Amino acid sequence: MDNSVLLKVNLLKKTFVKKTGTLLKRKKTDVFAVNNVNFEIRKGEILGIIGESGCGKTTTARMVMRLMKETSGEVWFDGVDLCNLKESETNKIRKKMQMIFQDPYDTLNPGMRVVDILMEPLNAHEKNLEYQEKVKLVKEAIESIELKPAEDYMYRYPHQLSGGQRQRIAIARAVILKPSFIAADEPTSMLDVSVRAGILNLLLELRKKMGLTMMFITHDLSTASYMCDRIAVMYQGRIVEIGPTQKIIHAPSHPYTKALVSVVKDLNYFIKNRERLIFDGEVDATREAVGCPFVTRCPHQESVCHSKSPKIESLGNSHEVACHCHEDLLERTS
Amino acid sequence: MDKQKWKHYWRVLSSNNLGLFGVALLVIFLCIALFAPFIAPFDPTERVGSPFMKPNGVFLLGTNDIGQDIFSELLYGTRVSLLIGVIAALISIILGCLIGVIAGYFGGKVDSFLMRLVDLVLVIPFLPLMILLAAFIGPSFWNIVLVISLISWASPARVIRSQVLTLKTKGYVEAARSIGTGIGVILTRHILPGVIPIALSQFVLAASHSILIEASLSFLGLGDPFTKSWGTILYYAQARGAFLTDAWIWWVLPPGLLLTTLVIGFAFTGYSLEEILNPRLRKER
Repeated sequence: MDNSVLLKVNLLKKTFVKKTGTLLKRKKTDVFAVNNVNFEIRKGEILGIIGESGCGKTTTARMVMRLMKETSGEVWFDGVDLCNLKESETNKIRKKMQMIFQDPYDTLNPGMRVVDILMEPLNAHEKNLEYQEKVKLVKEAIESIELKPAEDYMYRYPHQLSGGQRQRIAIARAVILKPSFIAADEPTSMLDVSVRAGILNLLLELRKKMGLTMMFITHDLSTASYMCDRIAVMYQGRIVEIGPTQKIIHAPSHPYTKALVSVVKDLNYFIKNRERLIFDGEVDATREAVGCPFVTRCPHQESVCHSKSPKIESLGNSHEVACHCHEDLLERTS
Repeated sequence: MDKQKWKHYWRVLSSNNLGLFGVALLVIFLCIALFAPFIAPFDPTERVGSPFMKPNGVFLLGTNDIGQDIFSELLYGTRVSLLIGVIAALISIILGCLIGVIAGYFGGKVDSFLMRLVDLVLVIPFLPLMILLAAFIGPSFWNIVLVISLISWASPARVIRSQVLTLKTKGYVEAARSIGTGIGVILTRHILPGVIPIALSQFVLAASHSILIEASLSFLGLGDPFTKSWGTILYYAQARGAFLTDAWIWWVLPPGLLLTTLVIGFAFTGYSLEEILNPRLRKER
């Protein structure tokens, strides 16, 4: 494996079993949440994963963070395959990879004070430290997330903090151990628009200061374009397009990415004369598509799309897409 | 820092009239139980007067069939009732917590097995089993405690399990797992504190239940006839026909009232304790 790659996900797959029917006519249906996902994150890079609800973004993150067992596949972190580790070894790895969760109202224990919350990672991984040293580290962590003075916030309970402050505390909890990798699962989606930018800038600054590598999950393309070096677009458990942010936004190749880009207002400000593509309805993840997973909604479908699942192909400049028709589409637009 | 915490708890408790009342009741009963030898005018096991005396200046609540002072009996009875109630409730809650937390957190087969066990204990007819057990292992203080806790751990276990099931899905439990916190720490720092308010209210219920069960077992003559508890007083009162004469006013009514008051004291304390342990129920004061 290339030395500059921190995290490599190889053919990762997760299927859930859904039981339906009555006692005698029990049926089991597989739900394909994540389907053969591959990607790499280089050191110091932020990879954005975007996609609609239920496309498997969070499931992927949970598998990478070892909160959920994969059905098959490999997750290589820093040269170690996480999927074959024992529980105790996984816990050691967790010192180096931390997660920021979506809902700051849910991830902080309401019965614990901020100090106790931030001390939890230290108690788990730095057992030899004295209490006073831990308090000092906690103070530093609180100041590094721009809640000053730290003493004002240390002894508060989560319900005495605002949503933005809570998310900052959650971020502090993730960075207090100085990890090398952070998975952020829609860290701003539950926050007011007014505090979002603050949180995003904080993450960027922490990345600069600590050399963090990040996996940034979001459903908002404008957030992703602000944060990420590269973006992977997921649809129905597969990555349909992956590439540098500028490429994804200015030259999307997959029809789904095109549709996503076309409806984001902030982006349209820069890109003129773009027609808006809107798809209706929900998708059914229970069927494993024979052809392209996007075929039910795709405006450009051809016969091959129904019968053959597209392979991911390189377009150069580490821009890759999984679509049979991307060349035709390119011609059509130009 | 910790001092502040306790001060805060006291502020919450003292600003709640109901809770204060409940605590006051319990404290009064505790004092009575502790200082019974000093308050009681007579030794309740000694014959100090003639039998079946009406209340008068010397014997505040008269005497019983063998001439013991009923008022002193009541004071000493507080000890037994309170002790049995608290110990039995404590045992059943600890057992219930253990089983509920294990079943709820680990789920799967462990859960199914433990919950079927709970079902078994719950569906067994309660009073006959109790009587049978009490009759079988014989009347003594510890046997009664054992009988009560054997019967009453099941419903707290079930209630606590359901609470654990909701707590398990909370974000902070998952966050703790992703941090790499050990399972023991997760259970004690994240699951248990969320369970304690429920466990406390269950404890209060169990304590008042245990006190009532003890009284009814004793009343049926299945308790230790030589310990002085409110139940045995009622048992002798019934056996000597006090229910049919005027004597019920000073022989039957007082133990009944004391039982009721003690149970109420437990209930009120329970409510305010819940408020302390669940910060979100606290009002800003």
